[in-house]
Amino acid sequence: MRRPFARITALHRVILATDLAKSYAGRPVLRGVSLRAEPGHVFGFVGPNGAGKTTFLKCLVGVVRPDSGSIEVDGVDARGNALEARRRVGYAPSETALYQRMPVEELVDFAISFHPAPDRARARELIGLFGLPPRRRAGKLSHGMKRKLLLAQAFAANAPVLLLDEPMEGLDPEARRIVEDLLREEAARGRTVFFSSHDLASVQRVCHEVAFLRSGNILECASVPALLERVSKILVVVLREPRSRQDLPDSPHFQWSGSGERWNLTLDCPLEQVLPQLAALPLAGVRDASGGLEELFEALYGPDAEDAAETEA
Amino acid sequence: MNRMLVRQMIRENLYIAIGYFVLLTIALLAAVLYWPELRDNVPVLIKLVPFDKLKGWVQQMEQEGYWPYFVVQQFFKGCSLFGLAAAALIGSGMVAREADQNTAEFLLSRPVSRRRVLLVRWAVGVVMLAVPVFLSSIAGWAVSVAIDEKVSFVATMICAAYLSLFLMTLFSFTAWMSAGATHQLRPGVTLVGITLLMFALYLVKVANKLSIFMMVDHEVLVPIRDGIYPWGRAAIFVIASGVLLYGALRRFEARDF
Repeated sequence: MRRPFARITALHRVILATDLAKSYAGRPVLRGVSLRAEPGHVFGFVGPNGAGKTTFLKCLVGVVRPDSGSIEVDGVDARGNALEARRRVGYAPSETALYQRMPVEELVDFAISFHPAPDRARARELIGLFGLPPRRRAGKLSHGMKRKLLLAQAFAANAPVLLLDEPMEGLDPEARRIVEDLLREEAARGRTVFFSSHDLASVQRVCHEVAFLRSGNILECASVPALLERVSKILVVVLREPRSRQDLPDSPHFQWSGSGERWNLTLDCPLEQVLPQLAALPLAGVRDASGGLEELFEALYGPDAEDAAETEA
Repeated sequence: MNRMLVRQMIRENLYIAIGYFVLLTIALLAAVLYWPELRDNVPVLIKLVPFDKLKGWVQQMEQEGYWPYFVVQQFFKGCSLFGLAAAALIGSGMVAREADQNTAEFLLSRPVSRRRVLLVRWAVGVVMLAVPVFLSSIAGWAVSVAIDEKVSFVATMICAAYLSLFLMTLFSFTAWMSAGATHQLRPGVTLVGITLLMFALYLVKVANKLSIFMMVDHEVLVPIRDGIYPWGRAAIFVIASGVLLYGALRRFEARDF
């Protein structure tokens, strides 16, 4: 009898890619991608269209054969034994094309039935949670509903590793919130969650680690707090009475802009160093308006970064 | 796992199989019921038939009566024509439909091997092609009694089995094409094109040896009633199907989606 995944030690539940390369008709799509996603963590995979995110995920599940490099999924060599690796993966592709004639419930059942320990009760629960009509044919579903169906089957596969390609794409804000909660829950249960996304706000809220991919290369790969350390910290400071610039505390780490009662403070030091100095002001309120992953994304992929990359090339 | 793949394959192709069965049966029953009218005019018909191959068939009808008429109507005409269309439609979709409709990633990311997917689909496809051949042949055999003709049930079933092997070969060829194609239309159209060429060759006296229809015509089918079975040709169909299926597996397994 196959050993239930729940009993496998969390140490195995790792995605490990080493020097993964793939070309289509001589055009390189992945150029030696290496990364490691840990169990109990949510790993975000970010990059512009055509960066190679989907190809990387397809390599992990064996839909695309890499040219070189190695992949390990939950302790299994995914290149040598793709079938065994797929048994350990709940996968939701970015492509929402489905078998048009199959009703929702049957399609989810079809998708999870290949897995060694599918959770059918969970499948029904997720169909209800996402508000999917169980008897409606897949061909009659909206794009967002198809996305939810794909997510439902990936979660209900009850596999130790979750791979989701663009899981937030096409979802309304409420559904995004539900998916974010589900991703956190899955990670809390010790699963390895790996997803690609263009929704940087979601990535920032949910992920423990993020990798930024461009033209098949990893540009950055670090924990979310470490990445956020590198973006500007901005506080919006609202005063009870107007003040001039000279009345505000000064420091080589501070940069003030604004006037009267409303000021923006840009910092390049930890927040704890600032708070005592701000406490001396007649504060009506302080709000964090720091840049997030969006700002980092802009720095990595914006026109300046592209120029720099071209010059480097 | 296999059950789900079988169900999915049947769901995708059920209407094609039903349509194929209905057309096959209607065409055969119409031909059977027309026989009493034709029977007395066979000597006149020989003078009107333009091609040697067809002339030979009509001569056989004149000499041996209903059996040559029955086997050609059901197996040479009906199964080859409608069976070809069904083989093209079902076989072309085996892999190429998944690529065409972008469902390949969804299926192939499941923990199921490509080998199993293809073998299950191939087996279901062969059954979907063969069952209508047998059922319509039984219907034709039963209705023949109504026009005071009697055909051997065993010979009819052997002919049905032989034609099923022929269709299996056409289906395997389409599956091989489908395994490497990105659009469903291409393998289907290719099979139909090649078969039309084969039929054209069949009607040309000096070239008909090159036609696969030589393997399923009256000269092969009629002697089955007398216990002369086409074992060699049947073996060719089986071997060709095996080779084509193996080629389809290799193609499918090497492909990126």
